[in-house]
Amino acid sequence: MPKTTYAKKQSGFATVMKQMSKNKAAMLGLLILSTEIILAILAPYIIPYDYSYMDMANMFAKPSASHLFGCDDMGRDIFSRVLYGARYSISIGIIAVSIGSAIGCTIGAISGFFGGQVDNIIMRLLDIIQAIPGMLLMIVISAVLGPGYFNTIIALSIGSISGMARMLRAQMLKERENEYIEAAQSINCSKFRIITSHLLPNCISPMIVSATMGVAQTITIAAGLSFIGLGVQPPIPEWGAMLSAARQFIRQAPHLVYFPGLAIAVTVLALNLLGDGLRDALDPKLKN
Amino acid sequence: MLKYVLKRLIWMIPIVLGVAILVFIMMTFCPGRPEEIILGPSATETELAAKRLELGLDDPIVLRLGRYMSDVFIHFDLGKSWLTNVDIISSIKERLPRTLMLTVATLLISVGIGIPLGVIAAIKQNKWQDSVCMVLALVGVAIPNFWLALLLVLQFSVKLNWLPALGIGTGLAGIKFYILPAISGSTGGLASCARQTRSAMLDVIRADYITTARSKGVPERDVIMKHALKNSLIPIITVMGTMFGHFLGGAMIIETIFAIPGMGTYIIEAVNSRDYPIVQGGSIFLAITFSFCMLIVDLLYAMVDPRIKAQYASGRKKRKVKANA
Amino acid sequence: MHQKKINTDMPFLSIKDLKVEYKSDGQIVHAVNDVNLQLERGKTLGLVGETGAGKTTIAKSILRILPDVGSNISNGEIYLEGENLLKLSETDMRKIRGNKVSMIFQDPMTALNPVLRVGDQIAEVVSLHSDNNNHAEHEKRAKEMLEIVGIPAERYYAYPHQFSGGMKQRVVIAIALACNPDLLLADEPTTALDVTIQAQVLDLIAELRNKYNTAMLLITHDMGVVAQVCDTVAVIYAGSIIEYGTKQQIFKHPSHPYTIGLFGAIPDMNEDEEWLHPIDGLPPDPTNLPQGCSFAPRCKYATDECRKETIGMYKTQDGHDCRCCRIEAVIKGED
Repeated sequence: MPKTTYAKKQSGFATVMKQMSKNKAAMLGLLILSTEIILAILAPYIIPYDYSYMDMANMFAKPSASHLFGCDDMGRDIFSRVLYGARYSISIGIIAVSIGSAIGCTIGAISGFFGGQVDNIIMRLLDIIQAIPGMLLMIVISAVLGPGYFNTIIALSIGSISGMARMLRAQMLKERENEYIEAAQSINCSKFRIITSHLLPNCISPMIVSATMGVAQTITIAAGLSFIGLGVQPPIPEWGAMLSAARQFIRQAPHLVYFPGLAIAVTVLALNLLGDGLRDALDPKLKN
Repeated sequence: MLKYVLKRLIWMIPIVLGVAILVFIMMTFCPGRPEEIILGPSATETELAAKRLELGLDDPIVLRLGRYMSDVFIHFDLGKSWLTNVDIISSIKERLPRTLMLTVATLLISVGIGIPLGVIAAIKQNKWQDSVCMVLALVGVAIPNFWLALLLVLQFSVKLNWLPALGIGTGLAGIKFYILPAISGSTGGLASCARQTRSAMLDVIRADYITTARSKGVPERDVIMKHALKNSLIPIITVMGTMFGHFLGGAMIIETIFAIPGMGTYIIEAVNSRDYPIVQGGSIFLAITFSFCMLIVDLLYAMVDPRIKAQYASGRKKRKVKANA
Repeated sequence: MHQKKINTDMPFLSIKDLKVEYKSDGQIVHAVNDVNLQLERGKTLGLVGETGAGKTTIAKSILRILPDVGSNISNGEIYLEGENLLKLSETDMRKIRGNKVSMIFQDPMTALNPVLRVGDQIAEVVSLHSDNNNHAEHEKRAKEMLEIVGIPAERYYAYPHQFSGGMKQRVVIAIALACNPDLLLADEPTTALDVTIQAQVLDLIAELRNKYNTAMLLITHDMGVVAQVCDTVAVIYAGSIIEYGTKQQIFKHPSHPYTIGLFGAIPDMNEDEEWLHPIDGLPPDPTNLPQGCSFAPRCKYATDECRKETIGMYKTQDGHDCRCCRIEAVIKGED
C-alpha cells in the first residue's frame, strides 16, 4: 500500500497530538495511563498503608472505607498493594519493550537496509527464535535466568526483539520501494543518510504503534509469568503475583482476585486505546 | 504445489535443528547441577561423580550437543525425565491430545464468534452494532485470560457449581472439563479475530468487484458471504494460525489454572522441579508443531487465494504476497 | 419476474430531476444536480464530462448501487419502460440488475472478484436471473458468452489474475451482456485499456449491441469515443447537464462555452497548431458550488447575471439544448 509520506519532521509530535485529541477513546486511554503512571510514581507517598504492613486483625477484610479494596490473607491493604504494584507491572512493560525495540530495530534496520547475505543470516536466526511459541520462549528464558523483577525484564526484552526486528525490516523493504528513495539516491545521498533521514523516519510510526501495543501485551505476559511463579516473586505486589497468591483463597475471599486483575485489564485497555488512536493519527490511511 | 510443500518441508529442517541447538544451549545455562537434581540432596560425592560420568556431563559441550541431536533426530528419542525416569516421548503422547483438544476448542470459540462479530461490525459500520462489537473486542483483548479463568471458576464452579474447576474427565463427560478453560483462553483470539475480520471486510466491501456483484443482482447476503468474506479470509487465517501456535504455548497458564495434565503443565512443572530434559524436549516438540502450523497456514492461503497459489507454483517469494494481502 | 407496465408514451429510459448527494465528514457533496435525460431503445447516449463531474453517480443511481454509507438520492425519478426504479422494492430491483440493466465498469483490473473463477462469475449472473437451477445449463451459457467476447471456452476455469486487462474487460462485458440486457451502462469501458485494445473493445460492444438492440448509456471523457459510438450526447459539468443534443449538433455546433472548451482541448490534426487550448481553472468544489452558473468562474463570457441567477436550458435547435444565458454572444464569439 502506498503510504502518504508527509515530512514527519515538521509535523512531529504536535500534529500527532492534535490529531489524537479529536479521538475521544484515545484521549481516555491516555488519561487513564498517565493517571496510573503518576499514581505509580507517587505511590510511596500516597498509599494509605505500607504495602507489606500485615494486620492480622484485618485478615480477608472485605472492601470498606478504611480498606478500599479490602485486605489479603495476611491482612495487607490491597488498595495500597495494587497501587504500589503499578510500579512493577507498568515499568516491566515499558522497560522490556524499550530494550527489545531498541535492539530489535537496530537488527531490523541492518537487515532491511543491507539485504543480501546479512539479511539472510539475520532472518534465518529470527526464524529459529520465532519457531518457538512466544510464551514458551519466555518460560524457557525464565527457567534459565531464574525468577525475579530484573530477570523478568530481561526475558521479556529478549522475547520482543525478533518481532520488532522483523516488523522494522518489513517496513523498510516496503518503504525502500518508494520513489523518493530513488530520488534520494539520484542526488547522491549516502547510504547512511538514506537510512537515518529518509527510511527510518518513515518507518517509525508503525513501530511506535506496535511498541504501544507491545507494552500492553508485555504487561499481560509478565503478569502471566508471575502468575505461574516464574516472574516476579511474592511478597512484591506485582499484579500477576498477587493474583497467583489470591488464587488459593478464591473460595473464602473472592475480592482478592478482583482488583489486581482489574488493574491489569484497565491498563491493557488504556494502552490499546492509545495504540489505536496513535495508529489513526500517525497514518490516516490505515483508518477505516 | 507439491513442490512448494516439499520445499517448505526441507526449509523446516534447518529451523528445527536451529531450535534444538538453541534450546540445548540455553538449558546448559540453567541453574543447578543435573546430577544433584537427579539424585536428590542425600546423594554422596561418589554417587554424584558416577552419575556425572554416566551422563557424560564432563564431555565438551559440542560432543554433548552432537549426542543429543543424534538422539532426537536419528533415534527420535527426547530422553527421559530426570526425576521420574519416564520416557518423554511417551509422556507427550499421553498429554498432547489434551492440549490439542483445548487448543482446538479455544480456536473454534474464537473463530466461531470472532468472525461473525467482525462481519456484523463491518456491514453496520459506524452504527451501534459496530460500536458494541468493537467495545467487546477491546475488552476481550484487555482481559488477561488467567484472570478471566479465575472469575469464571468463581462464578460457575464455586458459586453455581455447574462446571468443574479442575482436572479432566473421560469420555463425553470429559468435555465439560474443557468448557471453562476454552472460554477463558479464547477471549484474546476472539477479539483479534473480530478486529481483523472487520478491517479486512471494510477494505473488501469498498472494492470494485463488490459493486460488480451488486450490479449483477446478487442478494446482499451472498455479496457478503460469497464475495466479500472469501476475500477477507487471508488476514483472518493469519490471525488464526498465529493464535493456534501461540495457544500451544499460551495454554500453559490456562492448563495450570485448571490442572489439565497437558503439554503446558508438563513443561511448567518441569521448569519448577528443574527437570530440564522435559523442558528441552517439550520445547523442541512444540516448536516443530508450531512450524507445521505455519506451513498449514501458508497452504490455506493458497487454498483461499488463487493468486497466492500461482505465486507458490512459480516459486516466487511468499513475503511479497503477504505484504500485498 | 416483476410485472411489466409498459408505457408507450414514455421514452425507454427517462431520468427526471435527479439529485444525488454524498455526505462526508459533515460536508455535503452535491454530486448530481437536477439531471434530466432520455434514452430510446437501441440508441446510445454519451455522457461526457471531466472526472468527478457525476457521470458514474448517475449510472450507479439507475442501478441503485451507490455506496450504502453516505450517499443519498435526494430527489428525482428514474423511469425504465415507465416504471420508477427508485420506488421498486430491493427484491424487485435485484431482478433488474444484471438482467434488464447491466453495467460495465471502468477498471477491469479490479472489477472481477480475484478469488472466483471467471466462468463462475459469468455463470452467477446467468443463474441469478434464470428460472431453473440447472447449473450445467448456466455454465454452458457462460462458456458461450466467453466465446462471444472472443475468449476460448476452456478459459472458464481460469482466475482473473491469469488474464490481461483487455481480456478481463471482455469478461466484464460478458457478465454485463450474459442476460441480454435492454440497457447497458458502460462506465468508461476503455479508459484503463491500451489504445489498440480500446478499439477492439468498442467494436465488440457495438457489435453485440446491434445484435440485441440494446440501449446504452456510455460514460466517457473521450470525445473520440463519443464520435465513434454515440447517437446523442449530454455534456455534464459539476453534476449538471450543460449541453444536450445529437452527436452532429454537439460536434458541429458546440454552444456552451465549456463544450467549446472541451473541443479546444483536443488537438486538431488538420491544423498546424502548436498549442492545445485547455480550459482555464478547475472544476468547482462540489461541497460548495458557486451561485448561478457553476461554470461562470471559468467562463470568459460570464456576466453578473451568470453569477447570480440559476440558469435554465435554452433551446438552440430542435433537440439541442444548452444551459447558457449568454448563448448568442457565445455563438458569435464575442467577449
